[in-house]
Amino acid sequence: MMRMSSRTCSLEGRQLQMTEACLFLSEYAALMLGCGATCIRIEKNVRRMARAMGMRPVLVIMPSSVELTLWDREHRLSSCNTEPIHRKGIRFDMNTRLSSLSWELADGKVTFDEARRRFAVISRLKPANKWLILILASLANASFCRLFGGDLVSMGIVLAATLAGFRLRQIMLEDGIDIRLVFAISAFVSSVIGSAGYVFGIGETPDVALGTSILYLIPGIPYLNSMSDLLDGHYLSFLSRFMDAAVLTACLSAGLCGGLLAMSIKWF
Amino acid sequence: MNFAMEIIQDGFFAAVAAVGFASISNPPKSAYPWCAAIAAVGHPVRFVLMESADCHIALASLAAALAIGCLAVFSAPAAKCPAEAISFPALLPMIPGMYAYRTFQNLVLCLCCGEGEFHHYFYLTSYNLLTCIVVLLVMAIGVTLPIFVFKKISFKATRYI
Amino acid sequence: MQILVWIFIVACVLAAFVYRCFEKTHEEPVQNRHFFDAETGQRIRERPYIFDDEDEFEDM
Repeated sequence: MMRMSSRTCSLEGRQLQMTEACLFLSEYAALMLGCGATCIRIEKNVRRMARAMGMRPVLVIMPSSVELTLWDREHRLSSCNTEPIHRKGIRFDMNTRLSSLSWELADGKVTFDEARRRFAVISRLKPANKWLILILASLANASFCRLFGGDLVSMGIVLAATLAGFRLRQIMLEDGIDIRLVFAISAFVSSVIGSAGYVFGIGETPDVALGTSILYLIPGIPYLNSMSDLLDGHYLSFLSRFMDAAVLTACLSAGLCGGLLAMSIKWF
Repeated sequence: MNFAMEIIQDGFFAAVAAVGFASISNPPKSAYPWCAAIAAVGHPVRFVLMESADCHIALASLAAALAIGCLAVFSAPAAKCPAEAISFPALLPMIPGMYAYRTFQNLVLCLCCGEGEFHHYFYLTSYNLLTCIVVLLVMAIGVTLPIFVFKKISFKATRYI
Repeated sequence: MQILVWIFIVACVLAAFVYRCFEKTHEEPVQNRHFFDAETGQRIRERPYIFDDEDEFEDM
């Protein structure tokens, strides 16, 4: 049980506790949404922590902000806060640590202040080594090519196309360029390199090489998150995440078409 | 024997693909081996169903996604991370890219050709588009359903890290 | 012709990579969006609000 006893505190003290708890929980929900967690997980985590502090939460999840209203058990005091969501891309490491933090707070293993300190540390978590991700993603896409029936030469072409496209994507995202433009340009570059089978007449499956060279860009996880929200009845979140994924898919298709036009390949 | 070798190859490349795509979404380090193992089991399920049982891709994808989802839910406590962190990347190698491309290909041909061939290309466009959408839908539902069915396990996975 | 276009595009991409390698790495400004102190866990009360489009309103 949390160290926030409601018996000995005055009304004013209890209101202050509720305000602090509301600010923490709304920031927590905003960070979880920012790192791509599903709505059901966020609701369960927030509810778990609020219940342990003797409060009732009501969470409203919107596409770019989250609103939390906290009521105490006797329904006398309340606190409300709206937090904007800052997108940090998909971060399952943050998601895991935040979920674990909610259990620690609920089980009484940490105090409220310690929980806030750990939250501050988690929010500053650095992503994995970008070169490692680059190499792993390129190998993954080459394996993808093999799964679709490509030969060794096609796998090599796809490896090169993914290395170039993914590195370009990393550079452009670091520079703060709009992600939709990033996807279009990366798809363009990857499809041009992926068309090497047609241009130089190498390999026996140039169509597979071209087809799989841009598949690493498909936003699979935002799409799967949207389905989870659909099943839980969060239709607004489902639509907004689905539209995000659809817009990015349209951008990469545009990049692919651009690449095919540039290479004058009648693949379609 | 040949078929067994093909299944093993399919599982191996699916595992490599899952690990690579998982790295893009920054999972905790403990999730990687589980991701690879589950993809190595789930993707061959679809392969076997389509090759030997002559299953439609949608049904085969549903079966594979359910398998991946269930395995992920039960291995989440051991992997010390949420079930989605393992199952979502393991599912990515199964996305039907070729159907999407054939949809666009036949759509363009639909618009370019004359009245006589319009019906044929329109049929191909619709078939590929519907297959693509249905496969994506059943995959997503298949992998998310176990998380909702086994709520107690999936939401307690990070309790004792 | 196709080969020339291909080589040109690939050369542009490689040039971008080489430029990026030797470009001075600009430091990312520290953004204090976070409410809580990483050492004490207390709320940072004098935290200024930082908006994403801060520079757009500089002239106003």
